[in-house]
Amino acid sequence: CLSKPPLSAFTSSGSPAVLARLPGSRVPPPANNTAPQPPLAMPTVSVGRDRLFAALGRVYTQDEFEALCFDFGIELDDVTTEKAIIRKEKHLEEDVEADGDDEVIYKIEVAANRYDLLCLEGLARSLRIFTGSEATPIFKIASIPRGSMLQMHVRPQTSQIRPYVVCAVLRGVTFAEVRYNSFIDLQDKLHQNICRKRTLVAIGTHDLDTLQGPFSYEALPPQEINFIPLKQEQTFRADALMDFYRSDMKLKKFLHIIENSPVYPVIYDSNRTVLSLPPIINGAHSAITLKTRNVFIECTATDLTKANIVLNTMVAMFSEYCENKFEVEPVEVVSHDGSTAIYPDLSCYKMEVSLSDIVGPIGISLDETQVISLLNKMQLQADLCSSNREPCISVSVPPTRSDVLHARDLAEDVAIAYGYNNVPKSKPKSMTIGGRQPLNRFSDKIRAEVARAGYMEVLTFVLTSHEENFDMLNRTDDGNKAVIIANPRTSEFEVVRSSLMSCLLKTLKHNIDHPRPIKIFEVGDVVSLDTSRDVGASNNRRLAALYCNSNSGFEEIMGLVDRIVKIVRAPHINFGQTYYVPSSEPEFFTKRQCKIVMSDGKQVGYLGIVHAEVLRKFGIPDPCTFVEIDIEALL
Amino acid sequence: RRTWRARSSPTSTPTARSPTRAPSPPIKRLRAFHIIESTEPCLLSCPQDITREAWVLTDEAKGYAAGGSREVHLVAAIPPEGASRAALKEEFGDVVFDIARKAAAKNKWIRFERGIVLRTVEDTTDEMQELLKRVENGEVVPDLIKELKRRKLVTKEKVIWYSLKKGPEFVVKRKTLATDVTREHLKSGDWKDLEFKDYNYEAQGQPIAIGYSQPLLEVREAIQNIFLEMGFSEMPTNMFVESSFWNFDALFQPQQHPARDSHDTFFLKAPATTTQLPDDYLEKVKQVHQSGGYGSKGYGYDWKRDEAEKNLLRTHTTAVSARMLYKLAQEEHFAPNS
Repeated sequence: CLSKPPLSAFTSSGSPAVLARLPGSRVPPPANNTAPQPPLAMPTVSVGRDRLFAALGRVYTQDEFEALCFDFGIELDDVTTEKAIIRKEKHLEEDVEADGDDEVIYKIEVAANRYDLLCLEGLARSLRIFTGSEATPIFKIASIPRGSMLQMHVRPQTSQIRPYVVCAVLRGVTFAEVRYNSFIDLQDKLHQNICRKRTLVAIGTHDLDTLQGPFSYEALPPQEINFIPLKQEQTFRADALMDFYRSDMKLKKFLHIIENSPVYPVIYDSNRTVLSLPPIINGAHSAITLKTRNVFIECTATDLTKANIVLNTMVAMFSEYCENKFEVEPVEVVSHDGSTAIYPDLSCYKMEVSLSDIVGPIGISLDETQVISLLNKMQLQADLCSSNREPCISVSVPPTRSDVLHARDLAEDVAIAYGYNNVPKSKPKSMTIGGRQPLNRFSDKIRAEVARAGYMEVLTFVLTSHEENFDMLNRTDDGNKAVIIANPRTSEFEVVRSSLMSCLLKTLKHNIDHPRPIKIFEVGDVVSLDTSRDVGASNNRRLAALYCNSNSGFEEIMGLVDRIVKIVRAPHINFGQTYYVPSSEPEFFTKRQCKIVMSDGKQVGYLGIVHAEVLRKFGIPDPCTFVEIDIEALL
Repeated sequence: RRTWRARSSPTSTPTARSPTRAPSPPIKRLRAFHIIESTEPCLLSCPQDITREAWVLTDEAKGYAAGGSREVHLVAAIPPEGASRAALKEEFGDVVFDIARKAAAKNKWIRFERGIVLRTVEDTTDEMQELLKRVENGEVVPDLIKELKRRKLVTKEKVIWYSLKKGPEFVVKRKTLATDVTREHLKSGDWKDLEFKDYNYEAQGQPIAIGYSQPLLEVREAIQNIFLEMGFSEMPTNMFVESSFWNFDALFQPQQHPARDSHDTFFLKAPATTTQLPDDYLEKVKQVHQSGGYGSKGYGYDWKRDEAEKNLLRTHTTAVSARMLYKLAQEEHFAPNS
C-alpha cells in the first residue's frame, strides 16, 4: 500500500537535475587511523603549534586560528602537549612525571579526501595560499633526458599479487629531525587513509645514495627472498619474516595482504639489494637517515589511480625541501610487456566550466575576475576562458587537489573561499504542497489513539539477538523469517526483529518496578525475508501493546483491540461481528490467546496472556497480556 | 499514662485537687480527640489544653496505703522476746524483709542484738501509710516526695485537661458539614441548606491514569512539520534492507571507500544480495565510477557488480533519495507537482 508520493520542488536554478552530489568533499567518510575514532570522524593531523605559526609567517591567538580554520573548512579539534598525550596513553596521574616535552600540539581535523592537508607542510602551504601570502606552487619535473632516467623494471609475476608500481626521486633534500618525522608521519597517514591500510597502496622511501639503479619490481616465492629488514641486524628469509612479525603490534595487521600468496612482491636494485618487501617492511640497507640527501620513493599498488595520488602527495608535500624547490626527478617504469611510463605524473587536470555553473548552484552573483581570485585562494589555478559563447573559466587543478572531480567541486571551493556565512538565504521560487506518506499519517493516528487509552509509548531497538527474537518467545526459527546480520558487533545485534514482542517484554523487564498497571505500546517496523521485493526483504508496520499487573489484564487488551477495530472500521476494512478466533501458539497460555481476523478470514494480529516460560526467560514476575497488529493491513 | 476525664459542667475549670469524677463512662482517648477536633472548627467549644503533672501511687504503694506499710507489719510481727533474722526472712521473704528492716531501722523501731531483731517501741504510727493516703488524695508533698520516689512508691503522671467552653456558634444539635455536592442534593433542593467543610487546597488532586507520547517522536514530529510546512513531500523510508547499489554506488561512493568497510556498515547474511537492479542505469553508474562522465573525472578503478549487489542495513536515508531521484527521472515531465 505504498502510494507514489507527490513530487516536491527543486530550487529552480535553471540547471537540469544532475546526478547526486559527488560525496567526500566536505562530509567526509570515516578514516582508518590507528587510534579508535567515533564513526564519521575526520582524520586528525597533529602539528606543533609554534612550528605551524612559523610556517604561516605569523602568530595567531587560539581564537584567531580557530576562525581561520573555520573559514577554510577544517577544525581545531584539540590543544595538547606531547607530555599530555603520553600521560593519557599510560594512564598516569596529573602530577606524575611523564616523558615527552611541553611543546603545544594542535590537533586539526581535515576532510578525509584532502590528502594534501595531512602534514604540516601541506596544511601550512594551503593556509598561506588561502590567506594570500603565497601563490600556488607549480610543480616541475626535472628535465632529464629519457636515457639517463632511473628505471624500474616490472616483472610479470607481480600481476599475481600487486601489479602496479610508481616511483619518483627527490634530489638534494635536507632532513632536520622535525622534517624527517613529518615525512614518516605523512606516509603513515596515507597508509591509513587512501591506501586502505596498505592493501591498495604501500609507500617505500629509501636513501638513493645507498642504492644502484636500475631497479626491478619482482614477485618471488618467499623462500627465495633474503634480506635484513629495517631495525633488524640479521638476515631473514621472507617466510620466516612473516612469522617473526606475527607478534609485532604494528606490522602484524599487514601480513594477511601477502602471506598466503605463492609469490611475495619485492624490489631490488641492480646489486640485488632488497629495497623493500611491500607492503610489509623496507630493507635496512636503504633506510633513510637525517643525513640522507637524495630520496627514492616507490609506491606499489593494486590500484594505479590511487598509487599516483599517493606518490603525487608525497612529492608535492616534500619537494619544497629539495635543492630545486618544487622540482621532482622522474623515474621510468618499464612494464614486462615493454610499455613504459614516466612517473610522477604531476600534470594538472584541466577543466573548463561556465561561470553560471560555478556561481549558480551557490546562489551568489560574481563576475569571472572575482571567481578566478577565489579559486586561486584554494590552489585551483583559474583563468579566463577563450570561449566566446558565455562567460567561462578555465581551471588547472594541481596534483595536490585530487579531490576535485567535477564542476561542483569548483563551486564548493568558491563557496568556501567566498564564505558560507556570506551566501544570502533565499526561498524556493515555486510553490508546492507538502504531504505525508499515508502509512505514516495512519500510524500517527493509531499512536495518538493508543496513548489516549492510557498507554505509554516506547521506542525500542530494531536489532536484537537471535535468542530474544526466537527462543525466549518460545518461537522456532525456520530460517525463512528473520534478516540476519553478517557482521554483528555484539550478540545484541544479530538479527533484525521479526516482532515487537521481545522488544516490549525487554522494556518491561527493565522497568519492572514501575507502579501497576504497566501499559506500554509501540508502533514500529519489523522486517522479514520477502522474495517479492528486489532486496529480498520488506518492512511491516506493527502496533504492539503490553499490559502488566497482578492480574493478566486480558480483557483490558481486548478492550484496546476493540477500540482499534472500531476506529478503523470503514467501508473497505471489514471486520465481522466477531473478529477473535482462538489460536494455539507457544508464546501464550493455551485457551488464553486468539487471532484477530477480518471478515474474509485474513489474520491481521494476535493477542494472548504471555506464557509463564516466556515471562521467566525475560525475568518478568507478573502476568502480562500482549497484542500485536499489522496496521498496514488496516490502512 | 494519660487519662481522659470529662467534666460534667462545661464552664468550670479543673483544680489541682482530684477532679470530680465524671458521671458518664470514660471515653477512649482517640474518640475524645476526634470529638474535640471536630467541634473546634465549628466553634462550639473553645478548648484549651492544660497539662498538669501529678504524683500517683504505684500499685505497691496502693497496697500500703490500704493495708499499712511493711515496716509496721514487720515490727508487729516481732514478739516481745524478739525474733531471729532467719525466721523473719522466712515469714516475709528476703526482699520484703530487707526493705522493711531498713525502713524500721530508720524510724528506730527495731534494734539488733546478737542476730536477734528486737522491738524498741510498743506501738508504731504508720506514718508511711498516712503519707501515702495523703498523696493518693491529691495532696502535694514536695519535701517528702523524694523519699517516696526513691522507694518507687510514686510515679509522675501527666494529665492533659481540656477546658471546654461554649463557643460563639454553640448549638445543642450538631450540624453536619457537607463535603460534596451530590445528585440527591440537586434533585431534592437540599443544596440550598448546604454548608461546606473547608477544602484543603494544598492537598494534591487525585492522580489520574494517563498515556504518554515518546519524547523523541515528538521531536521527530516537530521536524517533519517544518518540512511539510515548506511544501516538502515525505519519502517512503520503510525499507531497512537496501542494496549497496542504491546505498553507495548510485551515490558515487567508491567501492573501496572506508564507509563500506565491515566496520562501519551492517552487511547481511540473509538476504545476502540484490540481483534485481536497473541494468541500464547500473551501466551508467559503472561508467562514471570507472572513467567519469556527466562532467566528472571518475575514480579510475574497476567497478564490480558483485560489490553493488551486497545487501546491507541502510546507512543513510540518502539511499532512499537515490531511488526517488531515479524514479522521478523516469517521469515524462520533470516539474514541481502542486
